[in-house]
Amino acid sequence: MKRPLLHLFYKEWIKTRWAFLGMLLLGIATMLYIFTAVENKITLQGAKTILLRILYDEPPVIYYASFRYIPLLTAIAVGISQYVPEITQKRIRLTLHLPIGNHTLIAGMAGFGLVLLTLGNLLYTGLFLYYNVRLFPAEITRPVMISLTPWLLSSYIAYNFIAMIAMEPGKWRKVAYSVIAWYILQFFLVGDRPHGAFGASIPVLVLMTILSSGGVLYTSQRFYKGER
Amino acid sequence: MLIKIIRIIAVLFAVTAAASVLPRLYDTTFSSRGGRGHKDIRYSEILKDFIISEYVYSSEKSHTAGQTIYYDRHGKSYSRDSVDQLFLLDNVSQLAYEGRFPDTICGMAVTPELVSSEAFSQYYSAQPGLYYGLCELRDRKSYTSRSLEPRDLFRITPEGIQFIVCETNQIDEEKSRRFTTELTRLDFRFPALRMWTSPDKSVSEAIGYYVTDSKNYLYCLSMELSTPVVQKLEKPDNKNIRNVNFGKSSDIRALLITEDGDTYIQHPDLSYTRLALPSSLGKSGTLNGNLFYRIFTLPDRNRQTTFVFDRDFRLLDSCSLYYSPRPQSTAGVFKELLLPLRIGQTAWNGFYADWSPIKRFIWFNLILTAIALYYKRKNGNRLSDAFTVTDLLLVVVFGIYGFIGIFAFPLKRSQKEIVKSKSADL
Amino acid sequence: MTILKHLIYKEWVKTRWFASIALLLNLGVLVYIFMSLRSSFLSAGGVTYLSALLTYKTQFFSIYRYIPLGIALLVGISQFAPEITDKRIKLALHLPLHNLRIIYTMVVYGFVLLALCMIPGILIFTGLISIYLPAEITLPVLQTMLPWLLGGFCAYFLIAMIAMEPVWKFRFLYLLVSYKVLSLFFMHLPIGNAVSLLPVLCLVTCLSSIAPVYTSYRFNKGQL
Repeated sequence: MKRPLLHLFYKEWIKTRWAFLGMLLLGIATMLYIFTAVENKITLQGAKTILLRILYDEPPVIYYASFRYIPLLTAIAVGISQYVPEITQKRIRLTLHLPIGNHTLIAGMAGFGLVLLTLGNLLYTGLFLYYNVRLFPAEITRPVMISLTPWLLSSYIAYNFIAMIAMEPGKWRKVAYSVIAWYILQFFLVGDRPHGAFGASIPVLVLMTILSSGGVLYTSQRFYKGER
Repeated sequence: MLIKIIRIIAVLFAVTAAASVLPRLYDTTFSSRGGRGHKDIRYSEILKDFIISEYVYSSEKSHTAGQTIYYDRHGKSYSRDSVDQLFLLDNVSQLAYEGRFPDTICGMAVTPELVSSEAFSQYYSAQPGLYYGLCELRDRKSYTSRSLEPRDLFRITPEGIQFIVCETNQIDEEKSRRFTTELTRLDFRFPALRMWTSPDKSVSEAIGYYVTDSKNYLYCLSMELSTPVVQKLEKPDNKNIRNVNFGKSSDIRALLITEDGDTYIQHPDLSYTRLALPSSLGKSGTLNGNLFYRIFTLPDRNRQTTFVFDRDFRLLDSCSLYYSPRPQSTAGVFKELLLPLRIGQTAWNGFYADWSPIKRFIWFNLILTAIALYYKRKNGNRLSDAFTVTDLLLVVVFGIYGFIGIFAFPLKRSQKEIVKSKSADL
Repeated sequence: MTILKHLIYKEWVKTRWFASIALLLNLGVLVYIFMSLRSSFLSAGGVTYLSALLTYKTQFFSIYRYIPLGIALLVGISQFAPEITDKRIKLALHLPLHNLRIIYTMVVYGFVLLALCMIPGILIFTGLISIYLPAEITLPVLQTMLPWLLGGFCAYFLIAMIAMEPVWKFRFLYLLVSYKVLSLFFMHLPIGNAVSLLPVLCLVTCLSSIAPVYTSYRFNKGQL
């Protein structure tokens, strides 16, 4: 049971590695850009002024705003590179003839993608914390991390929906699911409010993220059955 | 089995998405025309009573016109000119420009400069605002020298007060120790619950910060020529403080709202006067002041109450303005019928679900359930199946959102089930 | 001639569903813009709303900004992605027609399809907002939207160019250059200011329409 799963993971890695590494590069570059810009402003205006502006300016100074769509783009890159080959070339049919259960197979694919995204998010978070803790005291770091959390969670939602949509056999249902995904993502990609603003929504967002992970199993079953 | 549960979760996602979008779409398409009259209330020092002004719309053929009417509490109406006579303190600049400003008002000798210097307006709130715990402590004498400009921000942690030098993001140990010692000397229990300062730069420099320690005692923290100046303040009637607003006029040092909603004025000599106002919990009001009066306005559900105090903060009079509720338009009625709830997300309070009154939407929901039931039976789903019942319950509760959801995610039966039901029919 | 017809039909089969999504998306967003304009207009009152619009120059239509780009992506990727994944372009290029003609038929087909998706929507939109807005406002609005439409066309040509390129290294480079070029079209400019930029944008679009020639030539030479 273990060996075929490892082979599966390796196959998925081959499919996704360039897209994933490319997006990681973009994410790291964005992170470096954010902090270079902040340090530049500090050099120009003085650290205390910048700190006070970040804390108390109205409209709020969201110095990390460039990072908003990075986890989402990473998820899209991984999701598309992983699932689009399956459906365009109908390769999924071959995979489904492997000696592991269909559900295990699909769950393995999805699990691989989620692990990849988690690694990416951990990298982003680690890098962000490293720079932020160096520059700012905890009174800024804590609310800013709370503001970042919905964006990091949005990557999982996007990936799960991409997997679900890709596996869906019906064309118009794909469009319908994309519309649903778009509006669900609007809850996650919030910004323009002071740091730490959406902390109260995080439990619900985490719940939504966890619940969304099963969606691909539902549509892949319909794909497997050959329904229209 | 697992798949069917996953499908229900997917339906709930569809319901959430629909419930956040469709109400907005409906509002954009069928909006109600504007034009509610705007009401305002003022206290006349001549009349010693309130005058209410209202902007009324009169819709003629194709264009709306409006005009302001004035009346008092007893319904007597006033013309524009007579109203102008009654508000001398408010119209200082206009009257002075026209040279019509009187020498005495209500027996007191006045000049335009005196009156306009006594006029001020400010907001105050019972709700503490955005608070990060990191603030700038400016020196009282910072206007004398550039070297007294602080380069750090401070916070009060369980270990004591910490001054963080911004450039290096390190704690200035020596300065922090000096201030912590001074605070400890006055029995300050760390950490601080909350700190307040005036938004006005010069007042903030002069007063410093009002800090509540973990035992809810009130302190005033400030700095003079780099030495800490800490003062323990009395609490108003020994009540815990909810929020502090600093005053804009010379006779009000601060406005304190206590935990039970009472409002206290703190005078420059640090004594308190309790204001005869109703509980201000959860509200923010306005304070307008002039030569004779201090006028507080508090909002409420569908009204606004104005309280007039004299300069010694004794209540003279009060009056409530009621806002007539907007009559419900047909679009509004249909909205309650069609859309049972609205899901949204606000910044500090997280998610909310706004339900319409049940009586309105339940009938439409039941009609939709009947349609759904018809389609389910046509597809061969029997009511004995728990998941079909769940689907129908979703339509009953969520109405049109549930209807969209269960048809977006089809529930086709597997071969096994079809064979089983066929054999059951035989 | 019939071969061209067959080719066009093949392209139609590839893109028809995505083009219909694009058309619906275009119409949907434009109608939504009109509805929210109508809603603000009616609730604020005509005079108030128009004077606020003229004073603050709010771009009530700004959500339309990236829609032409999205349409170009939908049509372009659905048309060219099968070519590169399945290497089907090789088969198409073995048809008894000159290579350039084939490529150009595909590109012109896409261009016409894009125009058919975008233009009717814009015309309907102009008609609708003219109910509430005078020409002094409508014309600058259209002037501001024109760079976005041109950006959509330019994006389509660039997608064709990138798809035809055989080598991934260069594809990545072209992607970076395209990002920079397209950012010219989608700048956040105040209303009506884009007029002076339009000749340049038209020139850039025309140049980009020639770009697929270069890459398909390299593809054809077999640099895979």
